[in-house]
Amino acid sequence: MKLRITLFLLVGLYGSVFSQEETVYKAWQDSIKNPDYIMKNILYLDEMDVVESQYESNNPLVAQVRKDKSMATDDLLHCLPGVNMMRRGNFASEPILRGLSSERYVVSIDGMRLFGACTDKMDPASSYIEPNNLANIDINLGNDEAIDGASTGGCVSFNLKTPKFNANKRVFARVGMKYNTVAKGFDQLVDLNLNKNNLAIRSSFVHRKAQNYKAGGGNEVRYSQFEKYNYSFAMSYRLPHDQLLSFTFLGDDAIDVGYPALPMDVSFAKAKMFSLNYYRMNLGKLKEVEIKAYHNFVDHAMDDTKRDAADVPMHMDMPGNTYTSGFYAQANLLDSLKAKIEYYNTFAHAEMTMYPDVGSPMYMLTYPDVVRNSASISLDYNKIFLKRNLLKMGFRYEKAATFIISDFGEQQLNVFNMSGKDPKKMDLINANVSISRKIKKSTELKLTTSYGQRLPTTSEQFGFYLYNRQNGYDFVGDPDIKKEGAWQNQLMAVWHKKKIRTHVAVFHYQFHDYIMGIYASNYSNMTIGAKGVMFYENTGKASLMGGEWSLMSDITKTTHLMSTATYSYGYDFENDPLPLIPPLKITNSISQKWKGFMIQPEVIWSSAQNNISAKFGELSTKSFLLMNLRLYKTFQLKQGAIEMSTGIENIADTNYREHFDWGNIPRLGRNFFMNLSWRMK
Amino acid sequence: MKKYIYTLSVVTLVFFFMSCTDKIETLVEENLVEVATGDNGEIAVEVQATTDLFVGFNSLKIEVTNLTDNTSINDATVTIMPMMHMMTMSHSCPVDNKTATLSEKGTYNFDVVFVMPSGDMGYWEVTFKVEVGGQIQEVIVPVTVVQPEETKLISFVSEFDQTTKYFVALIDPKSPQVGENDLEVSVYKKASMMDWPSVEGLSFELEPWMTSMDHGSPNNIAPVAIGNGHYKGKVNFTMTGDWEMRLTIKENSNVIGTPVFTTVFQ
Repeated sequence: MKLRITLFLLVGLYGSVFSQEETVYKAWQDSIKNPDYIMKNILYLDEMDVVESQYESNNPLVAQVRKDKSMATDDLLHCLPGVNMMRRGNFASEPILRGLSSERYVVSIDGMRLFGACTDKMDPASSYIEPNNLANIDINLGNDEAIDGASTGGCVSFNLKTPKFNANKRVFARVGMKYNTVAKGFDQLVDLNLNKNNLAIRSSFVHRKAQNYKAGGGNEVRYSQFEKYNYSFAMSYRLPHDQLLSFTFLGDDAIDVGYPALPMDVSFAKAKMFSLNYYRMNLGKLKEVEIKAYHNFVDHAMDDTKRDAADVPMHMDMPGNTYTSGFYAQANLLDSLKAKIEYYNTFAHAEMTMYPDVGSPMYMLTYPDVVRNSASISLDYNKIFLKRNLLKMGFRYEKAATFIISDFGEQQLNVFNMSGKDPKKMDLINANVSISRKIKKSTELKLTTSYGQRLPTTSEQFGFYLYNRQNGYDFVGDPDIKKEGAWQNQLMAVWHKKKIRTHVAVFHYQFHDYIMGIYASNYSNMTIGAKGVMFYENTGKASLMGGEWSLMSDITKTTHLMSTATYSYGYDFENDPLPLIPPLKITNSISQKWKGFMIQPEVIWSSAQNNISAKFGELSTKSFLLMNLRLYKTFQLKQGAIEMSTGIENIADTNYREHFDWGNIPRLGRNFFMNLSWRMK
Repeated sequence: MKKYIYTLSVVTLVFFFMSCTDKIETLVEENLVEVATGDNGEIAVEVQATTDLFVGFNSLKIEVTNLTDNTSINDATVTIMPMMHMMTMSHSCPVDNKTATLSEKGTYNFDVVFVMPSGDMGYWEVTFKVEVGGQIQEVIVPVTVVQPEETKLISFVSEFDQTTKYFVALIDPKSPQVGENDLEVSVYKKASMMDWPSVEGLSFELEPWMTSMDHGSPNNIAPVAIGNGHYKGKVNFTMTGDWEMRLTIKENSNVIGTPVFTTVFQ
């Protein structure tokens, strides 16, 4: 019984489980379970979920993110091939999946939807969680898992750690801290898991505080400081017949966060998440029945009071908040079919009050109390056929209605002869088909065709004069904007021999009704100094193509090499380059075991990016070369172990920026870091 | 959670409040106050308006009472003549309709544009001539005209001929709000001390402007003639604060003036 419970907790993290005995199938499953398997881009972070031998990965990338217990979510995501981070400061970067920003992919935290409350995208959902809370991150580049949500660019699923039942480990604790020199950042974390009989409890706490960081060359980047607290509490209770009842709370409070690339900072950004979860292993023919109800809210306030007066033409208050509630129920039928129904309701409010030196304050709603209801049903089907082939099909149908409930907001819209009071209804269809084929023992091929549709974001539909610092325009949403869609084809190949494993993925996305801001010459800007007004529109076709390549090689028993390369190219309806397109980037890292240490040198090279989107206000980006050196060591003690990770990042103190960084702000210069954590046996 | 409940209740309250203010506004419009009275011993005239009389476009509602039996006189034809008495001279002001018969609501209605406030300079009197069955009675009613907080009347000398004096009265928006507002003005010129005819055939340009931020607003409709010297359009305000309504007025495609009305609202 206990074993089974532990097992099913494990199993829940690996996706659906199949009882077929086919060897091919087992091989598939094994390859997916392999923590080094990056084709699916799942990173397992909870050492209690993965057996020790697998957790001690040889993959330098995986090792890095696991050894550095105080790593920030941003840095962690940045490690994943196909993922880049858009920076506006040293905090809360926005993940970019193959050149697509957060409008185009779905973010879920344990299956919950959470929406940032900042009209300037200062708080992507990923900023409200900490790796310390995460059991794994599951990233779908491209929309090949329709069940994850309606998107045209994929899905980032953050799965939270759950309280663990383990009769041999009644108490598990971890305490860690990290210091870095580049921002004089000091982080602390505590992690605690208790279990007795049928009850298990997990609690965690993280605090981070950083000063202004120094860019390559030693210049301080002003307004790049931040501080945040993250705390969680989760409780699981076992019921007979392999049932599990869980409650999870997660809180995150960021305060005094600087955004050097934006005209304003953040005085606070707070999120609270609550969820109640029911799980049952077997219910007749149904397996892994899961029902979750959740609620979360985000409270966000921008702040310009700490800036130099000369940089602030006018003082403003810009608070915003979102409230999201929802539930979902999912189950597996006959081992090969997974079904899910989902509903959520979200509310977004953001306002702006401007205080001129002379005259009355000016008030407007930038998110005019926008309500969205969404209900969906989705299916996922897996079937082995002809022994060597795996067929995967997914289908999702969503019905959504979006409207505003503020009369004031409606009056604002009337200015544009628009209205938002009547629900804007949309039907969304997402579907995917993929065939994986094992050619010989060493080669796997996977071909995926999918079609995805997404809802417009709150900004795209109801944003009111949202100033975009990057291109200098005020953005206005269109309540009658249509959904965006994309056809996607992806081909992946994995080839592995004993000591070498290589993976190639090429993709082509064809968008229709691609949503972007279009300059409207007959409108005048609202923001002081802005260049004009852009309206979000469905522009027609856009294309995106590119690929990722990775190579892992066991050079010797103690030396492992990993190389990755990514490249994308895309253009919009006018054949101009799409924004945020990652240039060619090659990462080489080696992990070398030596006298109980693991030494990991890393070289990252990025080509210049001159294919830039002028409409988006992009600047071309120079090529750069970075060198990092990291060192890991675990000291076994009687009472547990001390894990140390230390190193130098950006050894040459290169002054560089990645293509996604706003406002020509350089990234971190040379950094020494030291991370120590103690864990119980 | 507390915050959630708080915000929800605030949202509800705001809605409640908003729906209330709507109602209050309509009530206020209906709710006329007596601004002046006068009598000649036989009949009495009561002047009603929604606010104190001010420099600008005023809609007056008149009730006439027979003092002998205290009954309303409903079958009269009433003529109005406002007069400003100053030290050395007297003058009248624009009136849209000089005579009126009983309206559906039981009053005699006049639209009068007072061109200056009562005060040290002089005082206003309105003379009503009430004609019933060929008999004319005259009642002089002293009125007080105040200068409103926000200017509702602008006068200027034609930039084109440098002699004609024009008066532009802002009728709408009365209580401007964020969003789309009706804009209505009426234009008069001073032909003589006693003759202030309305001006037809003008064309307008309109630019709302937020001076503290130096921006305008989109999709405005410049006023066009609706007759009787009145011009109607739409003005949009994208936020609360200090707004200017900048008008450019042309007569026969010559710019005659550029009056600017200022409004502040929260």
